[in-house]
Amino acid sequence: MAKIELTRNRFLKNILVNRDPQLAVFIVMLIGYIFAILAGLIGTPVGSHNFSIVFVWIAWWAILILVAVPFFGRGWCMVCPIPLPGEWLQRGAVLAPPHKKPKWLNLRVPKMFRNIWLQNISFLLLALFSSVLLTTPNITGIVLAAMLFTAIGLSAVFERRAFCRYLCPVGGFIGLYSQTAPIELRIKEKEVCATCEGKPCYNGSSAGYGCPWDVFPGGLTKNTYCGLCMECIRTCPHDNIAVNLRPFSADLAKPSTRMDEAFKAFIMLGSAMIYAGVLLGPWGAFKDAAYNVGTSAWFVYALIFLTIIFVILPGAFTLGIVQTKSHLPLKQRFASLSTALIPLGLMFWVAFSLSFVLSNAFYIIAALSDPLGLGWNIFGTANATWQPMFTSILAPAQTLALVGGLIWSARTAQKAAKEAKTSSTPVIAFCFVATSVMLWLLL
Amino acid sequence: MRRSELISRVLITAGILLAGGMPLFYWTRTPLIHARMAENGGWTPDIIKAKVGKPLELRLTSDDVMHGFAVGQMGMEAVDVEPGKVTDIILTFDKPGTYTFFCTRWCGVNHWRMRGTIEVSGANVEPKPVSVPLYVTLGIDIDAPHESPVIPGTRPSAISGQALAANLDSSKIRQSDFYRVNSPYQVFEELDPTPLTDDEKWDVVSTIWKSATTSESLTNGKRLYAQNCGPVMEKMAQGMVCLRMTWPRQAQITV
Repeated sequence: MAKIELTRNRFLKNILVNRDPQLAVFIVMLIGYIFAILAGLIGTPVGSHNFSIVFVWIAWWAILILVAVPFFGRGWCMVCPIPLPGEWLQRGAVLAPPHKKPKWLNLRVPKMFRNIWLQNISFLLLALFSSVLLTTPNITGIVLAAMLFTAIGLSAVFERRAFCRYLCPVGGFIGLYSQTAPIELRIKEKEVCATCEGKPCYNGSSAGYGCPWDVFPGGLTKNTYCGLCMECIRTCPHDNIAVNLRPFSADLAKPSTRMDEAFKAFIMLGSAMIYAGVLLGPWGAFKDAAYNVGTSAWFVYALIFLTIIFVILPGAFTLGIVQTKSHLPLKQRFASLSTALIPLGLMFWVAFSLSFVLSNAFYIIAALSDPLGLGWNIFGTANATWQPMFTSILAPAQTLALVGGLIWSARTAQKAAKEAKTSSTPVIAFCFVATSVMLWLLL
Repeated sequence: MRRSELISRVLITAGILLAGGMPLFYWTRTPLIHARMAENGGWTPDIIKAKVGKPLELRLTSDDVMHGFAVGQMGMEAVDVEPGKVTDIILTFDKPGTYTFFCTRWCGVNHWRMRGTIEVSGANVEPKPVSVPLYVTLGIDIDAPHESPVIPGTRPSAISGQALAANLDSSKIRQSDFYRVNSPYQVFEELDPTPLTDDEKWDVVSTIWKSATTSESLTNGKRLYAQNCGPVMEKMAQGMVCLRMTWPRQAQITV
């Protein structure tokens, strides 16, 4: 399938270039975000009736993992409210293009942090506390507020969106999985960018700001670090930026050789499997251990969690590929072949999320009418009786997602192995075993 | 500053104030009575003020499990207090005094500690404390385990025990206060010096329990059990409710 340039459509392009529609969405999202923080802090402590839990961990998560990431890649980052207050304060403006230097320190992020290791760590920190985080409104409120203020703090010290690019626990995996999405932002002609003076897409101009994601669009080859903020479309004086519709997982044809990205794939794959076992499985002792943060049982759980992610999964993967012949050193081969885990991990998360989203989606209806648990009944649905939705299609849908993910990963493994001039068999075998475990955990 | 910039700043400020101010405004104006399991705080607040003849509107919510709410000496029907939902009730007191409100759902091991008071005052009338509960007067520790190392081998018979009890010298064990402050096993032990066999002793115990109650009380007890304890016991049996508790081994007395 050839690429289709969506921005040829004048209506769509006008919407993307014009700041007003985006600002309108930003304001709505920011209001929702602040409301979620307050709901978490002052609303009912019963998670299933609190807006912060129901709308963040059920509604938002469902939209993110089942729709936004698979079909729009970093589409969520395009409208995410977290970096906005910091960015507006940093720029000293909401809409007005830069006419003076950015405010505050505007430092460059140190080179040692210009990778996604911090995002890996921040995700794992949340993952280890997830049982409490996902069920306790005030913890959710605190975490949401902490993310907002951290983003503001980093905007005060560093240039551009340092939080989104290097620290956001969600942005890390969205970036990884956005490589599979059928949407991309790319330049049209390389030559135009090479000869462009001043590189306004990166440095900014009177038409707009330099790339907030610290990316030079002329060098974009994958979606991972492009936040789809559309600034470059506004600033490009040559109309050389396009948003394209493309085949799924187009970016995975060029495997990454970065270890931070490779480990992100393992972290996401392992977390989905552990969550499936702990949150959805029948083992009460695991649930207790995950929930009772700070107890010795929780420390054992955390140790097992980290061991699976950093030792067992990468260890088994390495054992599989170590014997294969290739011109690449093992480290590069490891990073390159782990690209195959990206579609598998995404499908693991889809299958896992289907379980709790379908069983808990009904709470959204009740929480809409009484978001704080104060006895309101705005839409007359506050007393809606809970019932799981579409349970008859759950198991087939999960099986389809997992088996589809395995096939998708096997195909990706073949491409990655071809690039690395090595065999794809161990990677496919690894994916097969992981999928079998996931099927056993979920079904 | 450009007009569009100014408008956007105004909109953002208004949005933030709305998102932050609206929930805070309603939250401060919606005083709720929160119910939590006793070990997590019980009722908050646990002291409520009211005036004679003036309707007292209460909005109850549970922060953890299903609770119930009732007020002693009022004859009101208990209401359920569901997690995350709000139950509205209106109470009107016609006498001043200190009324006890309590949980009517067996919510946990410390369920009976889940109490609070409503201090009702009237014009020129100071609230008078109501009489203390009987178990306090009798000095019973209702939380202490009353274990029974021995249980009846066969089902005791209150009818058989009637004649045996009549022949006993000890009148102490037939006094109502003795029955109230002792467990069946303690009465069984009290009968140790008698020549009765163990089964006969349990028959006497059964007679004492039977004579200290009425069929109305038993019917009422069954109803209260079914209403408050039955569903929980059933769920415990199914493993749906997990409470860490030590059950006192009590003699099974059927009358």
